[in-house]
Formats: sequence, C-alpha cells, structure tokens
Amino acid sequence: MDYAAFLAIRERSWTEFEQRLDDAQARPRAIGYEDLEFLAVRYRQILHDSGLANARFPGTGAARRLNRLAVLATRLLHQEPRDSSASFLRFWTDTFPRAFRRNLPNTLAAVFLFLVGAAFGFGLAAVQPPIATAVLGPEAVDGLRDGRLWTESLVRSVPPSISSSAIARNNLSVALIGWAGGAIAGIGALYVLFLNGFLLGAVFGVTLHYSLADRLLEFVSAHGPLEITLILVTAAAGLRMGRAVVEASDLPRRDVLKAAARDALVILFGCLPWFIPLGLIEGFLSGSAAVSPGVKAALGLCLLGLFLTTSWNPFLREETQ
Amino acid sequence: MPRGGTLADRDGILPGIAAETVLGLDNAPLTLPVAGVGSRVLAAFLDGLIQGVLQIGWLIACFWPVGFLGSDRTWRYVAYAFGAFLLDWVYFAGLEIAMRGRTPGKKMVGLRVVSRSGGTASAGALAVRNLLRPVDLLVGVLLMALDPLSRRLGDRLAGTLVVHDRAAADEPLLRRIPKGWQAEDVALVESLLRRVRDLEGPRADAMAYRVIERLEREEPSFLDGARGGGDGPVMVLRRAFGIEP
Repeated sequence: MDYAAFLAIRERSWTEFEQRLDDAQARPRAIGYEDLEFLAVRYRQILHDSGLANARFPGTGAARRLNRLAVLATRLLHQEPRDSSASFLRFWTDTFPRAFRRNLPNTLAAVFLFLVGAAFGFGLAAVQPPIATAVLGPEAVDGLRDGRLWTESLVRSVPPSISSSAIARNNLSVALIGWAGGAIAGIGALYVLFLNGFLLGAVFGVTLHYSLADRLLEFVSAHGPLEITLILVTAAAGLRMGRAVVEASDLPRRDVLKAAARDALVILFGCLPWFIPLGLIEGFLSGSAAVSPGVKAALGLCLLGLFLTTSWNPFLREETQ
Repeated sequence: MPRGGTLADRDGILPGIAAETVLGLDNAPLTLPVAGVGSRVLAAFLDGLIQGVLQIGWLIACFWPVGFLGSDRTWRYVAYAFGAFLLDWVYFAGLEIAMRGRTPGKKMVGLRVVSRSGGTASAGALAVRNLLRPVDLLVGVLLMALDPLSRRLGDRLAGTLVVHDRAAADEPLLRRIPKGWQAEDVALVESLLRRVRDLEGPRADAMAYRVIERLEREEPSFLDGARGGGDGPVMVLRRAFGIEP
C-alpha cells in the first residue's frame, strides 16, 4: 500500500473519529452507550493504523496525526480502575486493616527505632542534664527549676481552640513529612522516628531530673499514646515506600512501587482523621486541672485501643486468592 | 516486537525505540509527548504563585476587620490555620483530581498528568504523587533530569507521567505522491508545509522552489494544473500534492 492510497482509504475514518472524540472530550458526561461503542471499536482501528503508519511511513504527517489521536483517545477511554476502598465502610473495615497488617514488619521496625531513640534521649538527659536547655530552651528549664511544667504556660496563655488547631496542624504536618520522607529510601521516616523518640526520652529524662515526670505523664496520658502511635504508623507506611525503592524483588519495579504507594496512602488516610480529635483533647483536656489523672489515662488508653482495633480489625476474613 | 529481560524493558520502555514510547493498551506502542524539566518547573512556579495569592487572600479574608467570621479573633485564627494547611497540602492533589490531571499552572503551560499507559490517572495515584511533593522539592529536579521519562519520585511511586496536552492539530497530508518517493521524502515536504507559517516568507518560498525544482527534474507532469496565475510556490506545492483542490 502506498501513502496516498493509505490516506484515501483511511483518512475519512480518522476525521470522523476525531470529531466524535472532540465531542466526547467537550461533554464527557453526555457520552452515551452508542458513542462509547463507536469510540471503542474505532480506537482499536486507530491503534492499528498508527502501528502501520509508524512501520511503513515513519515521520509522516499521517503517522504523527494517528499517534496524537491514539494518545488522546487512550487518555479518554482508558481510566485506571476505581479503588475498591472508595466505599467509606469498606475502607475502615477491610482496606485499611489489610494494609495495616501487610505493613506490620515495618511498623515493628519503626517502634524499635523509636524506642532506641527514646532510650538514647532518656539516658543522655539523665547523665548530661544541660541537654535540657538544648531540648526545651532556657525559659522552660527555668520553669522546671521553679517546679512548673512548660505545658502549663502554653495552656494558660493561649485559648484552647487556638492551641488545639495549632497542635492538630503540627501533628498532621509531622505525620505527612514522616510519611513522605520515607519515600527517599526511608531516610526521612527514620529521621522523624529517631528524632521524636530522642526528644520524648530526653524530655522525660529532664523532667525526672526535676522530679516532675509524674506531672508530664499526666499531661500526655490522654493524647500521647495515640499521638505517638499515629506518628509511628504513618512513618512506617513511609518506610514501606522507601523499602520498595531500594529493595530487590522478583516483580517489576513499577508494580512494586505502585503497590507500596497504594498501601502507604491507605495507611496515611486511615491515620490522618485521628489527629483532629487528638488536637481537641490536647488543647482542651490534657492541661485541664478539672479532669482527674485517672480519667485522662483511661481516655488515652481507650483511644489507643479504639485505633488499634480499627487498624487490626479482628473480624477481618482471610484474603482469598 | 523485541521483548527481553533488560531493565529498560521491565520498566515499560521499549529497547531501541524512543524513550517516550510506552506500551499502551493491547501493547500498542504510544509515543507520549513527555514534558521535560523546564516546562514542569514553569508550571510548578505558576502554581506556586497562585497558591501564594490564595494564601494571602485567605489571610486577608480571615483577619479583615469586617470579615465573614465575625469579631472573634480566636475562631478567625482557627479558620486561618486550617485553611492555610489545606492550601499547603490539598491544592495540588485536589485540583489534579478535580481537573483530571491538571492544575491551573499545568493548564497554562499545556501539561497533564496521565497514567503510565497514557490513560487517565486514578485519584489515588494523583494523591500519592502530590503528597510526595515535599520530598521532591529536594530530589525531584535531579531525578527528572536523569530519567528519560522525566519522572520525579512521586511519579515513580504513583505510576504517572506528565505529558504535553496537545490537540490532534491539522497535519498537511500529501494525497498525491510522485513515483519513487519514499516516506522520508513525504515527511520532508509535509514538515515544510506544516512549518511554513512560522518561517519568513522569502525563506519559505525558497525552500518550496527547491521542492518544485526537484519535481520538474524528476516528474514534470506532476505539477500539471497546480500552477495558477500569481500563486506563490507554497500554494503550488499544496495543489500539486492534493492538499488544496
């Protein structure tokens, strides 16, 4: 077949396809069954013609036009399948728990690293009390010397609604950065985990030095257990992406990366909503003298239990192959 | 079609074919017009400007003396904090999902995010690539410069590509071909006729004359009926090759 004959036979079909494609792009919601059937059938023909033009007439206008038509039609007709997690109930009862379970090894590694950081910070603060100034700042250390926790001034000087929103925003940012940082071969997540562990350990070491650890424990008991867990779980989801980037696998790299990113995103979306009630609890309740330490501790444990039950879902059925 | 176990092949890039050629549906090779670092950075810069304007607008809206939030400064602060956080983290992902792979900046530059096979990317993929934007501020440009498909880390994890969003523009197609002409000869003349509007008049005429001279030498009868009174050489070519009646 020569070029002129190829055009004479096929060009009208391309023009017709192009017009229907333009209409479909202009009004995607108005595409009917007949339009879709027409486009789907002609699309295969366009792909075939494009392959033929590339092989027989490379670089020509027909090859260029057909490739552009094929690219436009592919974008319109080929949509990645909608996630089954789109259903709200299914997400919380199935998709999120499965992703959480698959990521358990990374979560345990995150807990271990956090504990190492905490032990290091605690030990350093115990043997080197001046570390307190570096961690907390001179004003907070002066307060500790006078028997006051720095958290008291925060609660008194700022309305709870403001501190709640600032706390929630800060925690969300830490979780998101830990999650995203995990993608750089896990480095960002490892940094967030170790740093947060170190700071928590050092803060407890310093308050213990000034005999105020029990009051700090009371302050963090309502929000702390879940807040730390959420940061560990989101950073562990980041580690999952980091491992996929560097780890060898039998599967193609792009499939491994996509599966890891999907799980990581599901875990992130399963964790983010919890930061809102946590911010409210930390702003309104943690520093309040009207709530007894026992109630705060019970609330903290209940929240943690609720999150872990949701994440693990003991009623989850085995995945069928 | 060559199928081997090479890294390039496993990554979906066909060995020996242009790097931007990917396997689409039914393994049909599609040459995607992949966007390079320059156009992507320009689009990101424009989006950054828009984001900055929105941030400033939100700040003014929240703290304007007679604003919609009443006189309570506490709730104004809370509203500002959440709005600013959403603008930081949701601007790109939200708009790309709503605008099917585009943001205002991408639209201005003519770019669109598509899936690895050239289809519409899923909402999950668009969310992943944009939530990873902070780390790509550190490593993204380097990765894009090193990758034949200009993918940053977010694109690799989400399985997406950024392409030029071009319409299937009118191509001057030669409907009459002189005997013995090969595909490269056809491509050359089509290229001249496509670019003629971008060339200076005398230069375009000079190039068209060279084609006419060749035709007169090889097949003089091919130009019969193409020469009209007072028409320039470009129009003669268009008539001779069947583009104009």
